[in-house]
Amino acid sequence: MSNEIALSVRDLKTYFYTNNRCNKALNGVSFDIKKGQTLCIVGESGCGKSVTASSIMQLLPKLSRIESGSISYFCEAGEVRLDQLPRDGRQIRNIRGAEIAMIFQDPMTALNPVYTVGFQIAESLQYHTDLSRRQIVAKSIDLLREMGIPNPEKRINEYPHQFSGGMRQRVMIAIAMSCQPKVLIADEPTTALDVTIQAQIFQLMDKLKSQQQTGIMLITHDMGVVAELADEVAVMYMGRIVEAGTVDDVLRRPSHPYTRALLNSIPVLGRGKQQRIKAIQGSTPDPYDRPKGCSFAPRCEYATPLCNEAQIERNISASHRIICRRYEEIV
Amino acid sequence: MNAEKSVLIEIKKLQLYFPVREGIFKKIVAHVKAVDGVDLQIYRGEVLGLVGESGCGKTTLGKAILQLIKPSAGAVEYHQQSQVVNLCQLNSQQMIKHRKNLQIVFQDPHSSLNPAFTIFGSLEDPLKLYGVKSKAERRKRVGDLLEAVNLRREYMDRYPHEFSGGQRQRIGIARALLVDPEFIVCDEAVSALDVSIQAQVLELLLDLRQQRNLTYLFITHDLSVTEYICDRIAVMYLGKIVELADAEDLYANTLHPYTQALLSAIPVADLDIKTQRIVLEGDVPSPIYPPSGCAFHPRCPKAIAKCAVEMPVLQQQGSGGTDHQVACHLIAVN
Repeated sequence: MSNEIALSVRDLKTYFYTNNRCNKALNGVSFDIKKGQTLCIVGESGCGKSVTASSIMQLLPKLSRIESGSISYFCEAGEVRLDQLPRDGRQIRNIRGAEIAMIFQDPMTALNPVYTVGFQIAESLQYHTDLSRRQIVAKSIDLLREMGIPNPEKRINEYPHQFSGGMRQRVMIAIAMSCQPKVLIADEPTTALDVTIQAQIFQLMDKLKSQQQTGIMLITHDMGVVAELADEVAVMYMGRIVEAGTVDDVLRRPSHPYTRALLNSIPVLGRGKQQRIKAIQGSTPDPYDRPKGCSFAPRCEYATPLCNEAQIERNISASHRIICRRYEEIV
Repeated sequence: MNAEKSVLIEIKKLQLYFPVREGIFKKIVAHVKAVDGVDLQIYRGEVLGLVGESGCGKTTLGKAILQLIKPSAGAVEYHQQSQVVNLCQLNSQQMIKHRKNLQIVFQDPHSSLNPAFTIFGSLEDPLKLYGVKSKAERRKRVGDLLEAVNLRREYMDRYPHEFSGGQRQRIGIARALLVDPEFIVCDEAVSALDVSIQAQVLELLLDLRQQRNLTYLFITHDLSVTEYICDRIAVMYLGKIVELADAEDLYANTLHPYTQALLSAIPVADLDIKTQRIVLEGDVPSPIYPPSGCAFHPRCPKAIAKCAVEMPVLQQQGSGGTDHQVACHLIAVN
């Protein structure tokens, strides 16, 4: 069961159009989210992590377009092509929230300050289920209790400003989990939170994954989080997945120069002062003027003139794929 | 660190309370105890890390040392070669003289530079204040410093929006270095940056410390960075320091339950290092009404009856002659 695919993205290209210029935010991205597994997408800011999430949810801004590729969601009734649904049509609204739910990055702004927390949890239950009003209230209280919020009967009538950051994020998870979605997309769910609160949130997400077989796509920039939570990892750079595979593949045998540089640039707790961290030279290129071939080539220490030509994806093993011409020489 | 450590900054029983006002007469009903009785020595040439969760008073302590917020009580003694000055007793005019030696790098590189000024416009002010009269000289000094932080000299005529986050943070560091300080407070100086850029800035900070003999107070919430860069680490919880030790000692021999939980909560980017995670219940309590006794006792997995009644004090734990202080009843009992 655990290897069943819940959502599959193939060669997705999402472009943004502003000021007569085109930003190829996603330039051919493919991955699968499997039931009961966590896929972590790592990368620096601006690499297209969040655009991937909004493409799946059909929450892209107006000036952007899915150019090509497919997003297929596999529900009981069969395959649904999310990319072909109208952005605010009935069908996508039925899926969004109920089947595919999302936790946003910033719990301070994602909740509406003028409605009570209870109302905001009830909203999705009201829309997606046919429970009675009383059942919805009872269910909302249960959800808050499951998330570990003390005194939920009282807290349900309070407003977001009366909650702390960690509690707000738990409310967000309660909303996302209210209809027991098959796929959960978490866009940097703990970046704004302290580490002790982060640990609580991760514990919760792990529980959901094992109990309800939810497929989780976790977007993060923290390699520590990846090591902790992921079953599979995809490393993104400038709108492409440069390396993907299981956690063991990517963290123990990093093959792409970018992944290796990324792992070398962070201090790891427990390695003490002896560790040498090595910064990646330069900064990410202008998104409107991307390098022709491998987008990492200008910063890559192994780059050759060949790297400026079009790159193809290759498989190292059945689970481990990479976009790099020279990985064999590097490893 | 070598044996003869000389104190640069000594903080004595520093308190900083923000009044909470209510009602039409704005009567003071309570105080937010942001910094509540901190004793701390910062030695010359060291990097002292100050870690803790948000709202524990790290930034406030950093600003209070530099008198950017006036402390309510206590003393900050600045040991110069010949004399000792209590910064808390100076007025702002007198303080300007010392600001030359005590500088700060702010957290957010996007809001700490004035968008309407060029980089030179922002950076020349401290030089003017400290008597560099000729513009040519100021341009030279600014240009030299930009080069010292690995930026190009020509960048001084650009505006902040033309720079990336990492570049802006380096401009912030250059600004702090302009007047040749000996002590710099780095307030979350790398937290807003991407990991690859973060490493560049950390390297720069360490290099500059070597070249210019600087002392840093490195405020951060990221314990992996602290371990890498700091000589000593102070852990803060709710306005108090709960543990203070040499960096290696703190990680090898963690004593306070809060520090243990904090360390175990950090996700480690290494599949071979697996820690037993201690997940704390609940949130940090309100600093307006801190819990009785030890402020950590409601969340502490090891709390005993005494913890709720009596406040533990920071005590020396003499294991092998190292400087390891901790405020916990359990440690004192053992």
